[in-house]
Formats: sequence, structure tokens, C-alpha cells
Amino acid sequence: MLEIQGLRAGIEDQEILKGFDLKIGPGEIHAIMGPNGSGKSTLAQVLAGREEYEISEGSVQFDGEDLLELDPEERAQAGLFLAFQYPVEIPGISNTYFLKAAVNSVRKAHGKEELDAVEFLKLVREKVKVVELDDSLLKRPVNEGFSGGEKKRNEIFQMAVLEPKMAILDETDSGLDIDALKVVSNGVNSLRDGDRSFLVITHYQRLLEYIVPDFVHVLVDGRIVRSGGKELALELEERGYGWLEQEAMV
Amino acid sequence: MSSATLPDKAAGLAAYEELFSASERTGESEGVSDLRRSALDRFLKQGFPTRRDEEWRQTNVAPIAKSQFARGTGGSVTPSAELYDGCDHMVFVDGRLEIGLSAVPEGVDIRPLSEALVEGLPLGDLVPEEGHPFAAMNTALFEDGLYVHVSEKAQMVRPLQVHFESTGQTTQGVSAVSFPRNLIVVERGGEGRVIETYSGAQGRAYMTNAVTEMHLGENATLRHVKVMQEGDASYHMALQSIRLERSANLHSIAVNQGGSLVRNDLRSLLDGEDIDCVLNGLVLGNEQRIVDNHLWMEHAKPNCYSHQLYKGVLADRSRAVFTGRIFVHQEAQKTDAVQTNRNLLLSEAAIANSNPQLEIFADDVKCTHGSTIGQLEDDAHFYLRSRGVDADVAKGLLVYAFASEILQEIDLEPLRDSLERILVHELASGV
Repeated sequence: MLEIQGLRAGIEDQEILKGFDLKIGPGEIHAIMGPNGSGKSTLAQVLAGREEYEISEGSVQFDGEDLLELDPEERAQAGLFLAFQYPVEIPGISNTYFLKAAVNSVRKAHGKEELDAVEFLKLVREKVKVVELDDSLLKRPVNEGFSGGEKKRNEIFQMAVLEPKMAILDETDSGLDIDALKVVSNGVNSLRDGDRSFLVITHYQRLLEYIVPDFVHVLVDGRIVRSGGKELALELEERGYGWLEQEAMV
Repeated sequence: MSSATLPDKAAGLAAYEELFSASERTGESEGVSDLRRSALDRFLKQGFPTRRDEEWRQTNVAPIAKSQFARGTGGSVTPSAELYDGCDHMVFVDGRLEIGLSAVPEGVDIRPLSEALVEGLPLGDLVPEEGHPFAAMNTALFEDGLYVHVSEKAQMVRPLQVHFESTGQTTQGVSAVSFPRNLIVVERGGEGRVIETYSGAQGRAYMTNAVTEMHLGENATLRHVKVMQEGDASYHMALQSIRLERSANLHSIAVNQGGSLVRNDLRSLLDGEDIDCVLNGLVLGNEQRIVDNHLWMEHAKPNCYSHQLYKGVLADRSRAVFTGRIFVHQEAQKTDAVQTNRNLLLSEAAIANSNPQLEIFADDVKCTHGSTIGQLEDDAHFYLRSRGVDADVAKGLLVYAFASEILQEIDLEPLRDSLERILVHELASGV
């Protein structure tokens, strides 16, 4: 599904990813953990196509395509989804209108007919249950005045509607209380279908109790320094990142 | 240099005197003739404003002063703007009536102004003698326009659209000019709904010089929209002057889309207590368009509310000027006045000038003003694209999101839909 090789990327002359490798197969859930500043969010932004980041080396294959050659919207149309760590507020565009534009852009890219208002509404009604999103939030401007939890649910709701092949969750757990965390995790789990892949980026092990990964990778200073199964997350919870950071420096 | 321009200037002004002499005005009352004559004298005395005049500092009208104008050829042409469903229509071409009304609702008098010029009409009452040379020119030379009189407690159920079309053509081969003149009177407790639209030929340097006066009696309501979609090479100079009495309610929206040089003066005199006065506007600029809006909100009595929200979306090398003055008399305690000007620049070369001016002589008032000039937010643009929305469409959506706030308040659906379409398609794809 996704294969990243020797990726080097940075912003404003500062290299952040320093030779990053990762391979994710269909239906797999991978978690990336790491201390602050290790490059977790940079990875998410680079994969989604944020133009501020400069890529100096490496390759990214997504579902047989050269991902780095695609514009952000083409990546989304190809089935890549990023749940933002800080979802953006857009005053003046309703959540529904925004989502309809997104759904129909993706459909158009695949040569499918656009959904009309009735069909779209049906889709929304079905998906809104996945994350227990309050109906009233659909009519409100995108993320404007939403609580932290509502914003994160809205991300997962968008994911449910867009049905990507692969989703990257960038610190979706940050700022969530335990109830919201469960709701969001349940939403993600309900979207697991054996084909859809997930890359879960997080600082804490907590989220991984609810979204159980197949593989856990530790990112330190722009590179993966250790990979393992879900038990690695527990080890990190106990021992912190310090020992891996020291190992990486040797 | 000055010795060469002076005779030119005099020659330029003399042309307007000729235009005045050549006008046919049979059947006009003596009062109206006097009004015209003195306005002409005022205009000839003042001449065209220059950038040395404080009120014209940011807008250069030299292209107009240097041009030669004659009245347009008129005639029956298909309007270049939409005539909206759901309302009655009156159409003027080059200042002269082409399509009149077949029926008029009870309690309301709607007719061409030229048929209403009787003694006692409050024509020109709201046009200040000083500082408005183009309005003086209009008073001297106006052909015709809309006259609406809503009697006490009467209602205009259907809105009226009055459309001014400019052909931009003259028989003399010079630039065309027209002088639309509108007078709207809503008596005590009456309700009026008027949409003014202006459009014309592309590529022709014609001028529209319009004046609209509005009188709102006690408890009167007027919902007003002005849609300016003039041709891309044209000049549009306008004065909209309003007087409101106790508890009157005005809601006026101006949408400025076309023209190469546009100047709107809006004056509102809140001359009674408990008035609610809203003057909102949207400026869509592209190419080298200059749109200059001067608003004057005068609170003369206590307990009134006024609101000005002007937004500009500026592409290419376009420029918007907003000068908003709130003037609060000593007597006007408990005034609540809000003024906001927001501009979105879509290109490096677009410019917005924002000049809020508060003059407050009362001590117990709430006056706020705010102005912002910014660019499209990268974060929001990327967020939309990351969901699969094409870069251009995303840009269009964000422009729409910024500007639609003004259009949301238009209650005639066909008009609102039409303006939203323009916003989404034409503007967004052109930037």
C-alpha cells in the first residue's frame, strides 16, 4: 500500500526526516511513536503534500503511484487521508458543503457521477453515526467554534465519508478526554475492513489500547530506530524514549 | 504645465454647459428648472475634484475630466444584466425609460421620475451643496429615473427592480454619459423594497452618474440592494443619500462588480430616535478596477443603531478604497455604531485602502470600527486540498466563504443565487 524509502525532508534548510523507511501492507495498522521534535508531524504533512516542506531524497510509493509527484488533492483522490492534528477552521463554509465538495471532487477524479443533495444526505446520515457526531455540527461552518473533541470527531467523520484506502492519524488523541478517545477509536476501528491501512502517529501509548496496531515503530531524530509488535508500545510507556534516544546517538 | 491645463479644464466644463443647454425639458416645473440651473452653476464653479481634495485623495478622476461626453443613443436593447424573477421591473436605457410597469400595487406610487416632477417633491433635499460635484452635475443634467412613493402603512409586497442599461454609444462618436436620478419616499409605517441595478457595454468608456435619494418616515422600512455590474471600461459615479426619521429601518446592500473607476458616496442621516440603519457592501475587483466607497453615517439623535460592513475581494491590480465616517452629534447619546471593513487580496499587486474616521461629540456612545487586509489562508487552502478539492476550486470556495456573508442577507432568492453564482464561478476562476 505504502512504501517509503530513504526519505529526507525538511523545512527552511533544516532537515527533519533523515532517511526514513517504512512499508505498510493492505489492511495493516502501523503506529509511529516518538518524542517531541522527532519528525512525526513532518512525516504526516509530507505525505499529505504540504508544499512548505522540501524533499531532498527518497521515494514514496502509494498504491503503485509515485506519491511525491502528486498534488495534495491528487493524493486525496488516490485514496490517502490525513486526520489533522490541528483541524483548520473555515468560517463561511458549512461542514456539509465542505464535505460535499470533497466527496464530489474525489468521485469526479474517478470518473463517477457527482452525488446529488439527496444521495449525499443519505451518505452523511449513515456515517454520522460512526463517530456520534452531533447533527447540528453539520450545518455549522467547518470546525468553527468546535471543541477539541468535536474537531477530532469531525476528522474521523470526514474519513468515514471519504472512505480512503489509507488513513494517517496525526496525534488524533491529543487533547481528548477518555470518553472522546473511545468514541474516536471506535470510529476508526469500525472502518477497519482488512484492506484499509492506517498509520497512527502518537506520542502516548494510551491511544494504542483502543486502536491496536500490528506494528509499532519508534521515530527518533528523523529515523526509525526500533520496530516491533504492539508490546513495544508498552515498553515505551514504562521506559520512556530516553534509552532509545541514547542508543540512536551511539 | 498649469497654463496649458487651465484652458482645457475650462473647455471641459463648458461642454457640460452645452449639454445642459441642449437638454429638452418640456413640462418641468419652475422649481425643478431653478434646481437644475443652480446645480449647474455650483458644478461649474467647483469643477472636477482633484487629488488635492481630501475626499478625493485616493481616487483620480482626471480620465473623466479629460473625456468628452454626450448622451447615449438609447433605444430598445436587451439588458446586459439579469432581470430577476420574483420582482417587478422598470428598465431605463441610457437614462430614458424603455420598460415601464403595467400595474402598481395599492398605496404605492411608482413611476418614472420625469412624470412626477410636481411642486413640493423633496427632490435634491438630501444632496449637500458642497463637496459633491458629480451629484451637482447629476441634478443639472438628470434625464429620468425611479420615483417610488409608499403611502402611510402601505407595503410593497413584490420588490421592484429598476435597471439602468448603458449602450455606451453616441451619435457624435464621443463617450456616452447618462444621469439616472432616483427618489424613494416611504411614509410613516410603510414598507419598500427596491433593487437598483446598473450594467452596460463592455470595452466602452461610458459614464453613469447616478443619484438616489431616500426618505424614510417614522417607522418606515426600506430594504434596498444596489448591484453595480457596469462594463469593464466604464466610470460609475454615484451618490446615495438617505434621511431617516424616528424608528425607521433601512437595510441597504451594495454589490460592486464592474466598471473601471467607481466612486460611491453613501450618506445617511439618522434624524430621529431608535433608528436602525445598515449599509453593507461587497467589492469584487479585478484587472485595474478602482472602487472607492465613501460612507458618511450621521447620528443626530439618541438611541440609534448603525452598522457598516464592507468587504473587498481584490485580484490582479485592482484597488479598493473604503472611507467610513461615523459622526455623532452631542445630542446623540446611546448611539451604537459599528463599522467594519475587511479586504481579501488575491494578488501581490492588489491594494486596499481603509480609512475609518470617527467624530464623536456625545459622551455615552458605543462606536467600534475594525479593518483587516489579508490574503487567503494557506492552512485552509491546504485543508481543502487534502480532502480532494482541486486547488482552484478550493480558492473559489474560500473567496466565497469570505464574501458570502454580505450576500446571505439578501432575501430575494433569485438575486442572491445570481450573485453567488458570480462569486463562485467568474471571480474564483479568474484569480
